[in-house]
Amino acid sequence: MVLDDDHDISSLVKISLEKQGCQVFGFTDPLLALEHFQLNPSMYDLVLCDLRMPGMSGFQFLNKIKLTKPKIKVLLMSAFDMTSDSEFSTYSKSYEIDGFIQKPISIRKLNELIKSYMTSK
Amino acid sequence: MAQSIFHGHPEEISQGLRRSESGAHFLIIYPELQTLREMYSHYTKSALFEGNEIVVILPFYETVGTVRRILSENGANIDVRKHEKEQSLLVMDSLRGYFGSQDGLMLFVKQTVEYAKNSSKGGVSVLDDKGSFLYYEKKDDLIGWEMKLSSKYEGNLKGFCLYHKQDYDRRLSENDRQTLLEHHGKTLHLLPSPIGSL
Repeated sequence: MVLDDDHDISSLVKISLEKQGCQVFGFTDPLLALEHFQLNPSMYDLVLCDLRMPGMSGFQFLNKIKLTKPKIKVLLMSAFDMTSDSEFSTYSKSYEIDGFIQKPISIRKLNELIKSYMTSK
Repeated sequence: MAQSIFHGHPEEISQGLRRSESGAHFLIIYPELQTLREMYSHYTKSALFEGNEIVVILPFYETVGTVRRILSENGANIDVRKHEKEQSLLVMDSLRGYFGSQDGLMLFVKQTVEYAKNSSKGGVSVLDDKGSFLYYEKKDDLIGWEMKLSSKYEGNLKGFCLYHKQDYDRRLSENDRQTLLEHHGKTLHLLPSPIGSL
Protein backbone atom coordinates (compact mmCIF):
# COMPACT_ATOMS: atom_id res chain seq x y z
CA MET A 1 0.00 0.00 0.00
CA VAL A 2 1.14 3.51 -0.82
CA LEU A 3 -0.60 6.33 1.02
CA ASP A 4 0.21 9.98 0.34
CA ASP A 5 -2.20 12.91 0.35
CA ASP A 6 -0.34 14.19 -2.72
CA HIS A 7 -1.97 12.30 -5.59
CA ASP A 8 1.05 12.76 -7.87
CA ILE A 9 3.38 11.09 -5.39
CA SER A 10 0.99 8.26 -4.62
CA SER A 11 0.55 7.54 -8.35
CA LEU A 12 4.22 7.84 -9.18
CA VAL A 13 5.31 5.44 -6.45
CA LYS A 14 2.51 3.00 -7.29
CA ILE A 15 3.45 2.91 -10.99
CA SER A 16 7.16 2.49 -10.30
CA LEU A 17 6.60 -0.35 -7.83
CA GLU A 18 4.21 -2.07 -10.22
CA LYS A 19 6.96 -1.98 -12.83
CA GLN A 20 9.08 -3.91 -10.31
CA GLY A 21 6.41 -6.62 -10.20
CA CYS A 22 4.64 -5.58 -6.98
CA GLN A 23 0.86 -5.42 -6.69
CA VAL A 24 0.21 -1.95 -5.29
CA PHE A 25 -2.87 -0.14 -4.02
CA GLY A 26 -2.47 3.63 -3.90
CA PHE A 27 -4.52 5.95 -1.71
CA THR A 28 -4.64 9.66 -0.87
CA ASP A 29 -7.19 9.46 1.96
CA PRO A 30 -6.11 7.69 5.19
CA LEU A 31 -9.67 6.67 6.08
CA LEU A 32 -10.27 4.96 2.74
CA ALA A 33 -6.85 3.30 2.94
CA LEU A 34 -7.54 2.06 6.44
CA GLU A 35 -10.93 0.68 5.45
CA HIS A 36 -9.41 -1.21 2.52
CA PHE A 37 -6.63 -2.57 4.67
CA GLN A 38 -8.98 -3.73 7.42
CA LEU A 39 -11.14 -5.54 4.87
CA ASN A 40 -8.17 -7.08 3.06
CA PRO A 41 -5.22 -7.44 5.47
CA SER A 42 -3.91 -10.60 3.82
CA MET A 43 -3.35 -8.71 0.55
CA TYR A 44 -0.70 -6.49 2.12
CA ASP A 45 2.94 -7.17 3.01
CA LEU A 46 4.17 -3.59 3.34
CA VAL A 47 2.67 -0.15 3.90
CA LEU A 48 4.44 3.02 2.80
CA CYS A 49 2.82 6.13 4.13
CA ASP A 50 3.35 9.88 4.27
CA LEU A 51 3.99 11.44 7.68
CA ARG A 52 1.99 14.68 7.57
CA MET A 53 -1.49 14.03 6.28
CA PRO A 54 -4.70 15.88 7.08
CA GLY A 55 -7.33 13.91 8.96
CA MET A 56 -4.88 11.36 10.36
CA SER A 57 -1.09 11.53 10.69
CA GLY A 58 1.19 8.81 9.37
CA PHE A 59 1.92 7.73 12.96
CA GLN A 60 -1.75 7.32 13.79
CA PHE A 61 -2.45 5.53 10.53
CA LEU A 62 0.36 3.01 10.93
CA ASN A 63 -0.62 2.40 14.52
CA LYS A 64 -4.09 1.34 13.37
CA ILE A 65 -2.57 -0.80 10.62
CA LYS A 66 -0.40 -2.61 13.18
CA LEU A 67 -3.44 -3.30 15.35
CA THR A 68 -5.01 -5.20 12.45
CA LYS A 69 -1.83 -6.95 11.30
CA PRO A 70 0.99 -6.65 13.87
CA LYS A 71 3.70 -8.25 11.71
CA ILE A 72 3.23 -6.07 8.66
CA LYS A 73 6.17 -3.88 7.63
CA VAL A 74 5.42 -0.18 7.86
CA LEU A 75 7.49 2.70 6.50
CA LEU A 76 7.03 6.42 6.94
CA MET A 77 8.15 8.98 4.38
CA SER A 78 8.32 12.73 4.60
CA ALA A 79 9.56 15.78 2.73
CA PHE A 80 10.09 17.51 6.08
CA ASP A 81 13.38 17.31 7.90
CA MET A 82 12.49 14.81 10.60
CA THR A 83 15.75 15.38 12.47
CA SER A 84 14.99 19.07 13.08
CA ASP A 85 11.70 18.24 14.80
CA SER A 86 12.54 18.16 18.51
CA GLU A 87 9.59 15.97 19.48
CA PHE A 88 9.88 13.59 16.56
CA SER A 89 12.42 11.17 18.05
CA THR A 90 10.52 10.89 21.34
CA TYR A 91 7.19 10.58 19.62
CA SER A 92 8.36 8.06 17.00
CA LYS A 93 9.70 5.72 19.70
CA SER A 94 6.18 5.08 20.93
CA TYR A 95 5.23 3.66 17.54
CA GLU A 96 6.49 0.50 15.84
CA ILE A 97 7.87 1.92 12.61
CA ASP A 98 10.19 -0.26 10.50
CA GLY A 99 11.83 2.60 8.64
CA PHE A 100 11.83 6.25 7.67
CA ILE A 101 12.34 7.60 4.17
CA GLN A 102 13.37 11.20 3.59
CA LYS A 103 11.92 12.81 0.46
CA PRO A 104 13.02 13.78 -2.10
CA ILE A 105 14.30 10.35 -3.06
CA SER A 106 14.96 8.94 -6.50
CA ILE A 107 12.56 6.28 -7.73
CA ARG A 108 15.49 3.90 -8.19
CA LYS A 109 16.61 4.35 -4.58
CA LEU A 110 13.03 4.05 -3.30
CA ASN A 111 12.52 0.80 -5.23
CA GLU A 112 15.75 -0.59 -3.76
CA LEU A 113 14.68 0.36 -0.25
CA ILE A 114 11.23 -1.19 -0.63
CA LYS A 115 12.79 -4.35 -2.03
CA SER A 116 15.19 -4.59 0.91
CA TYR A 117 12.37 -4.19 3.45
CA MET A 118 10.22 -6.74 1.60
CA THR A 119 12.95 -9.37 1.68
CA SER A 120 14.17 -8.69 5.24
CA LYS A 121 12.78 -10.79 8.09
CA MET B 1 -22.50 35.70 19.52
CA ALA B 2 -23.70 36.11 15.93
CA GLN B 3 -21.79 33.79 13.64
CA SER B 4 -20.45 35.05 10.34
CA ILE B 5 -19.82 32.19 7.94
CA PHE B 6 -18.83 32.81 4.34
CA HIS B 7 -17.97 30.63 1.37
CA GLY B 8 -15.81 31.82 -1.50
CA HIS B 9 -13.22 31.04 -4.12
CA PRO B 10 -9.55 31.85 -3.40
CA GLU B 11 -9.53 35.27 -5.05
CA GLU B 12 -12.80 36.33 -3.40
CA ILE B 13 -11.64 35.19 0.03
CA SER B 14 -8.27 36.88 -0.47
CA GLN B 15 -9.97 40.16 -1.37
CA GLY B 16 -12.24 39.81 1.65
CA LEU B 17 -9.25 39.31 3.92
CA ARG B 18 -7.51 42.31 2.44
CA ARG B 19 -10.58 44.45 3.11
CA SER B 20 -10.87 43.23 6.70
CA GLU B 21 -10.01 45.69 9.45
CA SER B 22 -6.88 45.56 11.58
CA GLY B 23 -7.39 43.20 14.47
CA ALA B 24 -9.23 40.61 12.36
CA HIS B 25 -8.95 37.09 13.75
CA PHE B 26 -10.60 34.75 11.26
CA LEU B 27 -10.95 31.02 10.81
CA ILE B 28 -10.26 29.73 7.30
CA ILE B 29 -11.14 26.17 6.28
CA TYR B 30 -9.51 24.96 3.07
CA PRO B 31 -10.46 21.84 1.09
CA GLU B 32 -7.00 20.94 -0.23
CA LEU B 33 -3.57 22.48 -0.74
CA GLN B 34 -4.05 23.73 -4.29
CA THR B 35 -6.93 25.98 -3.24
CA LEU B 36 -5.03 27.25 -0.21
CA ARG B 37 -2.03 28.02 -2.41
CA GLU B 38 -4.15 30.13 -4.75
CA MET B 39 -5.57 32.05 -1.83
CA TYR B 40 -2.29 32.79 -0.05
CA SER B 41 -0.60 33.70 -3.35
CA HIS B 42 -3.29 36.31 -4.10
CA TYR B 43 -3.27 37.54 -0.53
CA THR B 44 0.49 37.78 -0.10
CA LYS B 45 0.96 39.61 -3.39
CA SER B 46 -1.71 42.14 -2.54
CA ALA B 47 -0.62 42.60 1.09
CA LEU B 48 3.04 43.12 0.12
CA PHE B 49 2.57 45.36 -2.91
CA GLU B 50 -0.65 47.24 -2.20
CA GLY B 51 -0.69 47.18 1.59
CA ASN B 52 3.06 47.47 2.29
CA GLU B 53 2.48 44.82 4.97
CA ILE B 54 4.61 42.18 6.58
CA VAL B 55 3.27 38.70 5.80
CA VAL B 56 4.05 35.69 7.98
CA ILE B 57 3.06 32.26 6.65
CA LEU B 58 3.27 29.10 8.76
CA PRO B 59 2.44 26.10 6.59
CA PHE B 60 2.05 22.58 7.89
CA TYR B 61 1.09 20.27 5.02
CA GLU B 62 3.70 21.65 2.66
CA THR B 63 7.31 22.55 3.20
CA VAL B 64 8.68 26.06 3.57
CA GLY B 65 10.50 25.48 0.28
CA THR B 66 7.25 24.65 -1.49
CA VAL B 67 5.57 27.82 -0.21
CA ARG B 68 8.53 29.89 -1.41
CA ARG B 69 8.32 28.23 -4.82
CA ILE B 70 4.55 28.78 -5.09
CA LEU B 71 4.92 32.47 -4.20
CA SER B 72 7.65 33.00 -6.74
CA GLU B 73 5.88 31.20 -9.58
CA ASN B 74 3.48 32.59 -12.19
CA GLY B 75 0.49 34.21 -10.61
CA ALA B 76 2.13 35.81 -7.60
CA ASN B 77 5.60 36.34 -9.13
CA ILE B 78 7.00 37.49 -5.80
CA ASP B 79 10.73 37.95 -5.34
CA VAL B 80 10.70 35.80 -2.21
CA ARG B 81 14.39 36.13 -1.42
CA LYS B 82 14.24 39.93 -1.61
CA HIS B 83 11.17 40.16 0.62
CA GLU B 84 12.60 37.71 3.15
CA LYS B 85 15.79 39.74 3.25
CA GLU B 86 13.77 42.92 3.80
CA GLN B 87 11.80 41.11 6.52
CA SER B 88 8.48 41.80 4.82
CA LEU B 89 7.89 38.09 4.23
CA LEU B 90 8.55 35.24 6.60
CA VAL B 91 7.78 31.59 5.94
CA MET B 92 8.24 29.18 8.83
CA ASP B 93 7.12 25.61 9.41
CA SER B 94 4.09 25.66 11.72
CA LEU B 95 5.52 22.83 13.81
CA ARG B 96 8.65 24.86 14.41
CA GLY B 97 6.65 28.02 15.04
CA TYR B 98 4.43 26.46 17.69
CA PHE B 99 6.65 23.82 19.22
CA GLY B 100 10.19 24.79 18.26
CA SER B 101 11.07 27.50 20.76
CA GLN B 102 10.43 28.28 24.38
CA ASP B 103 9.49 31.88 23.70
CA GLY B 104 6.87 30.71 21.27
CA LEU B 105 5.11 32.28 18.38
CA MET B 106 3.21 34.86 20.39
CA LEU B 107 6.34 36.80 21.34
CA PHE B 108 7.63 36.66 17.78
CA VAL B 109 4.36 38.07 16.43
CA LYS B 110 4.37 40.86 19.04
CA GLN B 111 7.93 41.78 18.04
CA THR B 112 6.98 41.74 14.37
CA VAL B 113 4.00 44.06 15.00
CA GLU B 114 6.33 46.41 16.87
CA TYR B 115 8.88 46.26 14.06
CA ALA B 116 6.14 47.02 11.50
CA LYS B 117 5.07 50.04 13.52
CA ASN B 118 8.62 51.39 13.78
CA SER B 119 9.43 50.83 10.12
CA SER B 120 6.25 52.45 8.71
CA LYS B 121 4.83 49.17 7.46
CA GLY B 122 1.12 48.87 6.80
CA GLY B 123 0.66 46.12 9.35
CA VAL B 124 1.26 42.40 9.88
CA SER B 125 -0.74 39.46 8.53
CA VAL B 126 -0.20 35.99 9.95
CA LEU B 127 -1.54 32.95 8.10
CA ASP B 128 -0.87 29.88 10.21
CA ASP B 129 -1.90 26.29 9.70
CA LYS B 130 -3.08 24.69 12.93
CA GLY B 131 -2.43 21.16 11.65
CA SER B 132 0.74 21.01 13.77
CA PHE B 133 -1.30 20.74 16.99
CA LEU B 134 -3.38 17.88 15.62
CA TYR B 135 -0.32 16.06 14.28
CA TYR B 136 0.93 15.62 17.85
CA GLU B 137 -2.62 14.91 19.03
CA LYS B 138 -2.69 18.13 21.06
CA LYS B 139 -6.28 19.03 20.35
CA ASP B 140 -6.91 20.40 23.83
CA ASP B 141 -3.78 22.57 23.55
CA LEU B 142 -5.06 23.85 20.22
CA ILE B 143 -8.43 24.85 21.64
CA GLY B 144 -6.66 26.34 24.68
CA TRP B 145 -4.32 28.34 22.42
CA GLU B 146 -7.18 29.65 20.30
CA MET B 147 -9.17 30.64 23.39
CA LYS B 148 -6.14 32.48 24.78
CA LEU B 149 -6.16 34.70 21.70
CA SER B 150 -8.60 37.53 21.54
CA SER B 151 -11.46 37.42 19.00
CA LYS B 152 -10.10 40.75 17.82
CA TYR B 153 -6.39 41.53 18.01
CA GLU B 154 -4.94 44.75 19.27
CA GLY B 155 -2.62 46.77 17.07
CA ASN B 156 -2.04 46.50 13.38
CA LEU B 157 -2.32 42.73 13.20
CA LYS B 158 -4.52 40.35 11.24
CA GLY B 159 -4.47 36.67 12.12
CA PHE B 160 -5.90 33.99 9.88
CA CYS B 161 -6.08 30.49 11.36
CA LEU B 162 -5.92 27.86 8.65
CA TYR B 163 -7.56 24.47 9.07
CA HIS B 164 -7.52 21.70 6.49
CA LYS B 165 -11.13 20.56 6.03
CA GLN B 166 -10.25 16.94 6.88
CA ASP B 167 -8.69 18.07 10.16
CA TYR B 168 -11.64 20.31 10.94
CA ASP B 169 -14.27 17.68 10.13
CA ARG B 170 -12.55 14.55 11.42
CA ARG B 171 -10.25 15.56 14.24
CA LEU B 172 -12.41 18.11 16.02
CA SER B 173 -15.65 17.37 17.82
CA GLU B 174 -18.87 19.22 17.13
CA ASN B 175 -18.31 21.05 20.39
CA ASP B 176 -14.74 22.03 19.41
CA ARG B 177 -15.93 23.31 16.04
CA GLN B 178 -18.66 25.38 17.66
CA THR B 179 -16.16 26.81 20.16
CA LEU B 180 -13.79 27.82 17.36
CA LEU B 181 -16.56 29.24 15.26
CA GLU B 182 -17.84 31.42 18.07
CA HIS B 183 -14.37 32.61 19.02
CA HIS B 184 -13.31 33.88 15.59
CA GLY B 185 -14.64 37.07 14.04
CA LYS B 186 -15.53 35.25 10.82
CA THR B 187 -15.38 31.72 9.46
CA LEU B 188 -14.42 31.48 5.82
CA HIS B 189 -14.79 28.28 3.80
CA LEU B 190 -12.47 28.23 0.80
CA LEU B 191 -13.99 26.67 -2.31
CA PRO B 192 -11.87 25.35 -5.20
CA SER B 193 -11.59 27.72 -8.12
CA PRO B 194 -14.04 26.97 -10.93
CA ILE B 195 -12.48 24.83 -13.68
CA GLY B 196 -10.96 26.98 -16.39
CA SER B 197 -10.52 30.02 -14.20
CA LEU B 198 -6.76 29.61 -13.80
